[in-house]
Amino acid sequence: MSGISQLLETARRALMAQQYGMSVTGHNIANAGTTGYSRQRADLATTAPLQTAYGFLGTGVTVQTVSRLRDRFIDQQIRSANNTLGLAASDYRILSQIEAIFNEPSDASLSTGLSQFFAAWQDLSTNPEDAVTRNVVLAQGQALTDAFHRLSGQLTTQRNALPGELTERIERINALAREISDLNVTIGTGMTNGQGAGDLQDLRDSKIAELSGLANITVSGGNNGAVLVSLGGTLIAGSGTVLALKVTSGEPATIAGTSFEQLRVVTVSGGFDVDLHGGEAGSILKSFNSTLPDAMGRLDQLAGAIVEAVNQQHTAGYGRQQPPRTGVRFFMGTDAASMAIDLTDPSDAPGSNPSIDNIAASSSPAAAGDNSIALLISGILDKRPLVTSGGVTLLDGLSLSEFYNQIVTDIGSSVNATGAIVTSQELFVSQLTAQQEAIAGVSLDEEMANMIKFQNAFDAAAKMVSTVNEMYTTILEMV
Amino acid sequence: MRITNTTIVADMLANLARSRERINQLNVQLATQKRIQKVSDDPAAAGAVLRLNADLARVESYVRNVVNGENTLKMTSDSLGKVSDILKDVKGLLAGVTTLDTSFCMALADSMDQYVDMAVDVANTRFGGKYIFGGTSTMAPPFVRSGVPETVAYRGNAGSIRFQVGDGISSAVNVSGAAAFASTGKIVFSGILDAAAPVNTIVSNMVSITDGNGITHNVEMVMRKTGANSWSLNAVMPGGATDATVSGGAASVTFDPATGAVESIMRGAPLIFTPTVTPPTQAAPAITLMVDCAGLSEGTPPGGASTFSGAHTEVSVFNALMAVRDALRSGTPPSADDLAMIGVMQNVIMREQARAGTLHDSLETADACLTSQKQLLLDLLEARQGVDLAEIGLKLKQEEITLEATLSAAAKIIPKSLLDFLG
Repeated sequence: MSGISQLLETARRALMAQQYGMSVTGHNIANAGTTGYSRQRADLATTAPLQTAYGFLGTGVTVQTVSRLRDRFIDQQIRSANNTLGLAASDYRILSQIEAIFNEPSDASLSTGLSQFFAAWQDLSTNPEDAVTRNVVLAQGQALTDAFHRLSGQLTTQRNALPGELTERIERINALAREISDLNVTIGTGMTNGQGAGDLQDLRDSKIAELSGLANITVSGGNNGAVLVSLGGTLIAGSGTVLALKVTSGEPATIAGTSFEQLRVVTVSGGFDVDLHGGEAGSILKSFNSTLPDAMGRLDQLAGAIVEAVNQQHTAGYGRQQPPRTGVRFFMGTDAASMAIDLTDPSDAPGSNPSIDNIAASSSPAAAGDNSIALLISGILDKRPLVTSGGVTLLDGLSLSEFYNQIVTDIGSSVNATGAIVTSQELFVSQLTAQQEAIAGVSLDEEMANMIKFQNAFDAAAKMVSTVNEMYTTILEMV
Repeated sequence: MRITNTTIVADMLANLARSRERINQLNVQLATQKRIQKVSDDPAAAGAVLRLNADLARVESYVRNVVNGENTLKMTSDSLGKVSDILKDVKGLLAGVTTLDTSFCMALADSMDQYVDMAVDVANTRFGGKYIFGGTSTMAPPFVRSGVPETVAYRGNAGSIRFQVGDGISSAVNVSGAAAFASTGKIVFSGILDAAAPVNTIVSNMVSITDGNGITHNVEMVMRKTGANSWSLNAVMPGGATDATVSGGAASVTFDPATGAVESIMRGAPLIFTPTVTPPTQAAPAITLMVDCAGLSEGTPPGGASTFSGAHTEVSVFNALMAVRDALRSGTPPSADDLAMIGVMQNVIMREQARAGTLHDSLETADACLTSQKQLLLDLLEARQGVDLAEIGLKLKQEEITLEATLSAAAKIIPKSLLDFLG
């Protein structure tokens, strides 16, 4: 049975639905600039029709649901790209710092120091008796050891800062896992009550996005709208459950001939290893455990080889002491940090009394003008292979300059390659974000159009109410 | 595709950032004049730049060595020239002096003494604080006058100082005093040759010679009777000996039939004795020797057979001059042999001067090579890290236009929305 009161009911439903639509539009406009916000849409549907003698008669409109417009698959791709980007960006940052420490090519770098040290020996070969030339050799030797100390010190400082950074990232991962787990619970409760929770899902998605930049996570769907987050196969966030992580030290590892302390990431309860290899935290862990030790170990090898090769020639030569002595070492120490000038009579404490008279340029005690040792030492920079007195080949058979250039170009190439990954991943992420934005983003033009649409529909429904009212009046006047 | 306000803003900001980054990169290249600031800008080219810089530093070292060596050799050549001049003066002074009165004799002897002083001074020349004629013993004067009777002893060695003037190339930059002033000597013969011996009779004697490295060698001196009262003299290395080579040294000696004393001697080229070198031993200088037959005579030797023996005496430039001086003091005029000895010394010094010149020339050649090598390295460096100013300027202008266009478009598009047109 369809009566006038039904007309009024239809109009009332229209008014309410258009008003709800207007509210959703208002919410969209309000959040046009909110990061991670997904546009919402009031899905209107007709209410159940009445069966009349003339057929089905519509009874108006209702808001069926408020849908959140977002492509979950694009989100997944963004997370994976974010992970690669987080790893590469952090690698790029750390490698660029190492590159800046080496400071090549420039006048204030180790390659310049090496050239100048061996050039000083070349100059000494033309003037082995001269105190000034000897002073230059000593000063350049000092400058070379200083350069090694500086490089080694700066690399150590850089590496020592990493455990703190890693702990910070792991704490952030723990906090995010906790928030995601809590949101899972809240969203699940809403779902059970049949309510959509678009804004909460947006919040959770932005947490997952942040987490994906920090570590290699995988996300899977759980019951009741929950998402499960795993890090390297270990479930760290479920619905109301979390597994906290911490940083701990591991077995020292030998890298490029030197033993280095290692870090591990484990679960707080149980202490199980977590396979962290992606994102920013993965990059920091890798840099601490291998990237920096590799550069530091190779620098140590270089310093050790210089000490060994120079001393090998130097101890065979004679200085200009009276009477001339042999067997004096030029350098002491074994690596970049401990390398120092010796040039002290072997009967005294090493390095206690460096003297330019102890610089050995001559191969004979009676020939102050002989320069054969100076020439041999000046040739060490490009000599290969360098062999210890014990017959061990140093630096994989490369010369000092080749070995050093290899360290520097390896780092430069890594910076270059990770820089390229960062650029391409940034582009990829921004393309994916644009794709997501095309679906989830708020277009103000569109919202304006919707607003006018809802307003007009509201106006029309109101007009209908007044018309029905007039109809009532007409009927009442008839009586 | 649905384009939202956020998309427009994000794209615009990204484009602006990229544009500014390119402008910054070009600016840095312009300011530093270098295409590569960090190794990562172009790892392959940066590796090459590092190598080229090291090569350049090495070549510059070699250039310094060459200049240093050239100066030393110039000094050496000048000093040898001075000694040569002294010998020329001495020869001029002594030539033609046969009979002397005592005062003239003493005056000549005094000037000889001064010449010795001058020669020793020159031989002890220092350059850059180093004695250039001491071999590798450069810190002590190589020639010292001392003793009674006075002699000048060589305290240096025969060592050669070599500077590196290229990769694997080194060049000697000194002439040792041993070679220039102390590589002359005499072989003094004594004995009685059998006047009755038939033509082609041969007598010989081994003479031992000590070289500048202190090594003793043997030379066989051979005399052959060529006719009545005349003999020829020759020097050969003993059969199978390879420690040295000899050249010159031939002479023919004629004896007075009545007294048996040497009547005349015809010397050929002086005997030059050259020790062979087995690296890494340093070369001992060749020794130029004059044969002195004043102690030989012809007659009837006791026991019937000829006796013939020779002994090597080192006669340095200074000792030769001092011998002439001492002879003059005792009233003896210089002999033809003395003048011949001075001539031999002049030749030796000229030889060493020529050697210094040759070494200097080879350094000049090395210098020319190094200069072109350096230029090549600089060109290669420039090709890898240099910037083309015009190109950068154009690129910068282009980027500037792009930036302005982006900004102006953004300024027009971003503020617009449907709102502007709703009445």
